[in-house]
Amino acid sequence: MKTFEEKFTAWVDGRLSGPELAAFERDLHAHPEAVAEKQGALELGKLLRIHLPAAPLRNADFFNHQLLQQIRAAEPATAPALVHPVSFWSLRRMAFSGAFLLLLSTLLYFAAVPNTRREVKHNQQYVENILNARSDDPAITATSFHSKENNVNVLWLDGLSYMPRDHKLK
Amino acid sequence: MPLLSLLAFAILWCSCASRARAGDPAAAAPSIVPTTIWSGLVLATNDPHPADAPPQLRNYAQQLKNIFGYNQFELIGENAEKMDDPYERWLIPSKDFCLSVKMHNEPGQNYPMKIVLFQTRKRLAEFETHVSAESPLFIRGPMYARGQLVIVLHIVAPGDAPVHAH
Repeated sequence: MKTFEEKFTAWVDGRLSGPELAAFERDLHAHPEAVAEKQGALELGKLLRIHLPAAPLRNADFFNHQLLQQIRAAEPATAPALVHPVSFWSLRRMAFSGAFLLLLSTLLYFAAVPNTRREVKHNQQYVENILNARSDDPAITATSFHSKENNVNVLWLDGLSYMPRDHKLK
Repeated sequence: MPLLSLLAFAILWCSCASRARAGDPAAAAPSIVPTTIWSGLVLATNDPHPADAPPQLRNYAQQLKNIFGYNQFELIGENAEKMDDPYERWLIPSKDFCLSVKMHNEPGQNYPMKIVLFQTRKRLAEFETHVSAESPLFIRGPMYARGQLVIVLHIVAPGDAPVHAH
């Protein structure tokens, strides 16, 4: 069931017809000003269509930019707070890691070093080695090794000049 | 915070302990005993009827034979020096060959020695080594006539070798 205002709007727009139009026109006898209102509305619509066309946007991008600026300016109140990245190495974790490494190094010192010393004492290969063997003469090469089975260190010099028999060793 | 304090204390304790240990002569050098180094110039040859090695070389004859492959060993010269000077000593087993021995630290057999080998005045080679009483050091020298010259270095007990007086 349409209200009077709905029927009036439809009548002004010319959308009433048949028995509905006849019934509404009978009702209009009680509202003699309705015909003048209809005429005024039609005149107003005609004038608006003529004199208020949509103005073309000359700077659409700037307009959009302005809109976005206004939207962003209104956002901070509702936007979530920035979350600072949290490093894995917090103070507590660093302290725990330092204590753990200290403990580990202490254990390794007492566990590994004495064993190494025992091994070196048992097998003198490490402490008996010849280090940094070299010669100023490029013709001479110096090689060193430790003979385990003979228990002797050897510095092997190659490229030395032959000494003939007539050279008397002194 | 208590954990940090504990950590700082542990680091401080380790630092003090290591310093105390470094400053403790007993910990740093358990046996600072002047050592004597014997050096010998040996001529190694092959002979169908090899003569016995001289007494000074009897302990090394088998090792020399195994390493160099000769069967006869003759001692050309020898020299023993007491390493009581921390800086430098000269070993002169012969006039042709001599060795400069420098300790890196206090005298004693726990420290490496820097040894420079000279032939007359020519510097042949230099190296660093631990010469110990357990294992001698053989230096392969030049070929001589039909043999091989070898220089032997060994730490000996002070009474076992004549110490050359300077």
